[in-house]
Amino acid sequence: MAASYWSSSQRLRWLMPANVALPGHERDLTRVSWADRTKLTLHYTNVIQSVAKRMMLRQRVVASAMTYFQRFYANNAYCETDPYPIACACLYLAAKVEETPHHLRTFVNEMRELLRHPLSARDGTDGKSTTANAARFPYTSADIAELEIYLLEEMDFYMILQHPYDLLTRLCAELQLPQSVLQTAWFVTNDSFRTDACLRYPPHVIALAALYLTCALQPPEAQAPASSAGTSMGTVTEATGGNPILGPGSALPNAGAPVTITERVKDWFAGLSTPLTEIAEVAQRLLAFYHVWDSFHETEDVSAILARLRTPEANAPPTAGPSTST
Amino acid sequence: MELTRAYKARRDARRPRLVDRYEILGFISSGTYGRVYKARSRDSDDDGEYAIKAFKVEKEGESGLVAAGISQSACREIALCRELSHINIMALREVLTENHAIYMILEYAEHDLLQVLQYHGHEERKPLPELTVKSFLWQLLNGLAYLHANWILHRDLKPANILVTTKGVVKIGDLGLARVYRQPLLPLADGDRVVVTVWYRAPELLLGAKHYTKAIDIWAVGCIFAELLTLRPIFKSEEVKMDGRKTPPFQRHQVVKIIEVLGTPTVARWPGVVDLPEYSNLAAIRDYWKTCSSKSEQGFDLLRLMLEYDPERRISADQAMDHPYFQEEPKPAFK
Ligand SMILES: Nc1ncnc2c1ncn2[C@@H]1O[C@H](COP(=O)(O)OP(=O)(O)O)[C@@H](O)[C@H]1O
Ligand SMILES: [Mg+2]
Repeated sequence: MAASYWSSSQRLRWLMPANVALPGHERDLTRVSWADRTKLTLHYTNVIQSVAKRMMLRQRVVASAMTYFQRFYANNAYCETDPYPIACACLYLAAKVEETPHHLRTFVNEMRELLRHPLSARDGTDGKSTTANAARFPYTSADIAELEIYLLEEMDFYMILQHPYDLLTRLCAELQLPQSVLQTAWFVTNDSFRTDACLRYPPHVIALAALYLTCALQPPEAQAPASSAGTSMGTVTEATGGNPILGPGSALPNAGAPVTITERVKDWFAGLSTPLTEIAEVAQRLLAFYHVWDSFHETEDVSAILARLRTPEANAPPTAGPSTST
Repeated sequence: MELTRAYKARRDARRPRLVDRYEILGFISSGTYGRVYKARSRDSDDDGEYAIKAFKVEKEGESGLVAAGISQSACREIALCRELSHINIMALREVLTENHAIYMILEYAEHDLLQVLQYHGHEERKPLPELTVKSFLWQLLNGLAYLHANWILHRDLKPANILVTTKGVVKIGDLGLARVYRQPLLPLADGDRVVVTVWYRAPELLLGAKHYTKAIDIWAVGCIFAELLTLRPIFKSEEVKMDGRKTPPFQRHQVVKIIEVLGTPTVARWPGVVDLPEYSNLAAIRDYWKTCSSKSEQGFDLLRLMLEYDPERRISADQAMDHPYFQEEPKPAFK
């Protein structure tokens, strides 16, 4: 358990095959595209991140809360539930499990404050602005306390998680990578919790994928001291053509230098016992996710997608997007 | 709101009822955090007996009307028990919920050590056989070594929280104060101001240490070992109550009790102590051993190592299991 991932419930009970569609996702995907559903996840995880930031919660708490959220939505659909109170219950529970508890009313107040305004003035396209003006978070502490038990039940009361951060930090130290690499890889790891990778891959694979992606997209030698991840990552991919780890035949940035960090990392990845294919799969998922993020306009997109998702007879054919079963 | 209501209704409709799954056979205990019942599965393939631990729903706020979700204690106990699997740790079969209450379905253990001690102390009035003591102690250490290997501190080891099955298998229970202590986000003492029932509380806790280690569990095991041999708590003080205080009071009487038995520091830790006038008083722990039912020198040595003042020098669960006391006759059962 705490000492070993191999005997943890995270592996034995909550690790899903990479290529099996999740029932909760499937029900949404009959109504909206994969990209649109991904945008919704991005929005709800943004809410978790924002509340956590306002309350100065640690990243481990955020990672746990997002994992709980992903677990809940493995079997539930956005079209059938209201994710805001679920997100709140996830954070509240995660703070408790990570031994940094806060009063429930603090979470509820922060959620209410964050979601005080309607998502967009226009509220989608149908002009039903009355519903838009209703507060998005009408829930009380008692409501969230109640939902916490439902959340626990959905998770079958498995709560303890291991996260990629420790391994990531150790790897970067061991490989003597610049601080900027750790920082970028750390951000990429944060972002991984906004995808279902945390349900489908062990934390060490996610740590490796984050590092792989970081080194591939921004070879350590070429990195600016202060790097940042986030919405720009997708664009970086397009610009990077061939690169030392993701694709063959790429020119090393510092060809001829004694032994570059990139070469060292490349050799190191080649000698790993974790299959590269698995790491590449996670990297690919992350890239697909960043691609969606690049074209995300939170205020307009979310209300439009929700309008389509929650209209009973919404049967517009979903547009093509990367399926969850790659 | 509508969607949430609909979701809950769907979920409620699918949920099996506790009474349909288990037949309640009787009431066992009412503790700090909830009640414990004895139960039997209604599944005809399952003739096992279970203990059902029902958690009170915690309240927050002056009115006491606002629900505050599951308590930190229930959360810890469920989260940890869900991961653990060891012969000497109380197994959690499943967790059920109904009407906002949570029920842990635990494997049933006939006795707790408190009952065993009381029975032998008051009814039988004769010591526990050394074989029994040694078997209990060894299994207790075995369960504790597993917890510690998983970076878990129990923090409430005492006879009432240690159970024994009819076959004599020891099960460490009540993980309501247990927590993972690897890489804490906050110092351990910030989370819970008071841990471990006072009679079993290690000196570093009594003296207000901000950071503490798995050595606090070993101290408690040492106290339990002594109690198994004498049928009386080794350090039995009058607890100073909180009485509305903001910070926990100093447990002077408990410290006095410990010093009465152990004396002040040992020669090994303080070589110069031999030259001091009152040195002879430090032999007190020897005197205590004379009141124990065991005459084993090795047993004495093990107890001394578990009740080492300095937490850094206190023996670990793993080391204790390898102690010559367990090699000597009578050898512990279940090893
Ligand atoms: N699995 C069990 N089988 C039999 N009795 C149990 C079991 N678990 C607990 N008990 C009894 O219930 C009492 C209280 O349980 P415990 O888990 O210690 O809860 P609390 O947190 O209220 O102290 C124990 O001292 C023991 O006598
Ligand atoms: Mg108890």
